[in-house]
Amino acid sequence: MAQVSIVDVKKSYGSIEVLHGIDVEIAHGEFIVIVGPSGCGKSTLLRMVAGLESVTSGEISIGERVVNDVEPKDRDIAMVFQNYALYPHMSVYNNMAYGLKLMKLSKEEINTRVDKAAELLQLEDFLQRRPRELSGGQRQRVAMGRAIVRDPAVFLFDEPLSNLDAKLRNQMRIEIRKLQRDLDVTAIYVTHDQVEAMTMADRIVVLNDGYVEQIGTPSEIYHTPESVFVASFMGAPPMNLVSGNANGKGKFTIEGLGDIDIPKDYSFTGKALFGIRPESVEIFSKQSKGSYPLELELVEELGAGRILHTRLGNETFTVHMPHTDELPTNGLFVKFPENAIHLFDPKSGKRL
Amino acid sequence: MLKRVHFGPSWLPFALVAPQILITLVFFMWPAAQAVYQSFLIEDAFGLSSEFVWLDNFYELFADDIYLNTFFRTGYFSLLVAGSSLSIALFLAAMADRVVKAALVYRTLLIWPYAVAPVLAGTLWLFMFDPTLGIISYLLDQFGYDWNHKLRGGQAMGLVVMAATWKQISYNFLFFLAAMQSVPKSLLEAAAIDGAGPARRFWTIVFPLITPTTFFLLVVNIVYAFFDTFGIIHAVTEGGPAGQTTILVYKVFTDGFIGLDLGGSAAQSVILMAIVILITVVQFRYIEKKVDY
Repeated sequence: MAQVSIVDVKKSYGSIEVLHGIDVEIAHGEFIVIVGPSGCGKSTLLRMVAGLESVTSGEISIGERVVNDVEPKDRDIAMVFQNYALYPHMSVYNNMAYGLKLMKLSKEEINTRVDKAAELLQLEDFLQRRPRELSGGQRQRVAMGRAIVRDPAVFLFDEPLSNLDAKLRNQMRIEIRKLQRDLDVTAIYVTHDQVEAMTMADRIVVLNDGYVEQIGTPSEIYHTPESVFVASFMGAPPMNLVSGNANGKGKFTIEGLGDIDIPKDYSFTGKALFGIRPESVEIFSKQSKGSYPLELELVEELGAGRILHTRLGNETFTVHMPHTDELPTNGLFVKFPENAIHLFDPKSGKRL
Repeated sequence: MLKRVHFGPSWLPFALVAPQILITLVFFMWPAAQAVYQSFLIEDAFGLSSEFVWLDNFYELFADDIYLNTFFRTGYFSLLVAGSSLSIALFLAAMADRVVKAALVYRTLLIWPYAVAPVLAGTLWLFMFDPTLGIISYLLDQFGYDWNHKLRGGQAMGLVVMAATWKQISYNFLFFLAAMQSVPKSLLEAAAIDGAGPARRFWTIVFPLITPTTFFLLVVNIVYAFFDTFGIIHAVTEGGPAGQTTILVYKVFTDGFIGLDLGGSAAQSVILMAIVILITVVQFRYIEKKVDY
């Protein structure tokens, strides 16, 4: 059993602190995705778990063991790098066998393990090739194979799909997820792609600027974002955020538009951000009670739906509508279902 | 391949390469041709007349034990110089690659010897090892070891090898370090996770990946030992004692300018030229193509 626990982990380079106390508990067999924009420290955190970066303070344990001062090779992990880091002068077979030879396994054992991994990843025909003779997807598989043969307790992935084209990426996403489940290993997966995060994760850790913004299942992250950052980072197109005033009695006033009904249990009064997902709004072609006019600026056709870029009062506002609905031609009005409304404190960025 | 239609005929490209061609012709081709011509001649002792003798100079050389010994000595000398300067430079570069603090200072210091002229390098070592004045020969004497490279051929050879090696280490170091730094860090990290310690990472990952540089340096070093060590030998031993540090290029000088056997000396030059051509062909034809991964 390999749970991973990261307790109050900090990382500084000289006087610059890049991770400010990260706490994450990962259960055995869980697929955790760490997501965040470039430079948020997600790769650094992963590399600290791998043992490639030192831990400035705090504690990282794998299984029951604190691994702060344990060599990477003794941490019972395997890592898949963004550029795959395949040994260019070795055949696919030797790339996978390299670590096993160092473990001093018998020739037969090495053979069995590599063959098994090759079969799993459909690499049997390529075992004697060099990495440069492989396509991007095949290299990706070899990198996976090299991780699998080690039979580690924890898989670490550092943006492994970012060098692949879109189609291959979708395919590998599913394969990685299946493999992880079949092998029953814990996985930590770093990406900046929120689609990867949503589709692959058991739980997502949203990291921003060295702080954990939120930890939760994809559904929690999507439907109850704890901060403005999470709300706008996860989801494409991102959540609409409109500033205005909450009166604490179920009304939210947007300048130049009027009052919007919000759930009465929001007791907060004062300046706030009103948030709603583009697909959560209801669209009408006629004005009615409780609807607000939108000024249509641009329509993006997606096939499965449309994204309407509009203005609500003075603010930009996007709406995602299913392709089954007709695009209203004269007049566009929206209603905001109360259960889809989020309010955020503009100062702290936190959910109200 | 660019199609011809992209560039109309123009005198400009010829004008641009003309200086280079001119220099090559005047300073390289002409002297080389002169050497070939001269190698077919024998001059009298006073330089007043010369006689065309076809390949007699060459026949004479290959019948001469001293010349053949010089051949073997040169091979031996080059292997020692190339081998030791490459391995020492490789070691230093591998260490420097791991240095993080003050790396620039460290590297700069290691590169300095390259700026020292060969004759000066030779003189430096000559002073240190001078049998009567040298500090190192004095120290060796304290340990009961009698150093006198003016009498002992082996010691003389050791001294020129040391001086020549020392001079070449910087150059090799620079190339090795650059090659090592172009090895992606993630490969080493992957190897570290795979369980390889620093030494094994070096021999199984870094060393194979810098093979192209190693081969290139091997050729450069052999050429260096063959030709550029002239100044060092001239300053340290003058080919002595009893010709025991005379290598091919030094023999060209002594036979031609001191022995005044211009024909024989020219014939030796032609043989050296042939060797260089051979090494170059080997480098281009085999080594540069063979190294792949």
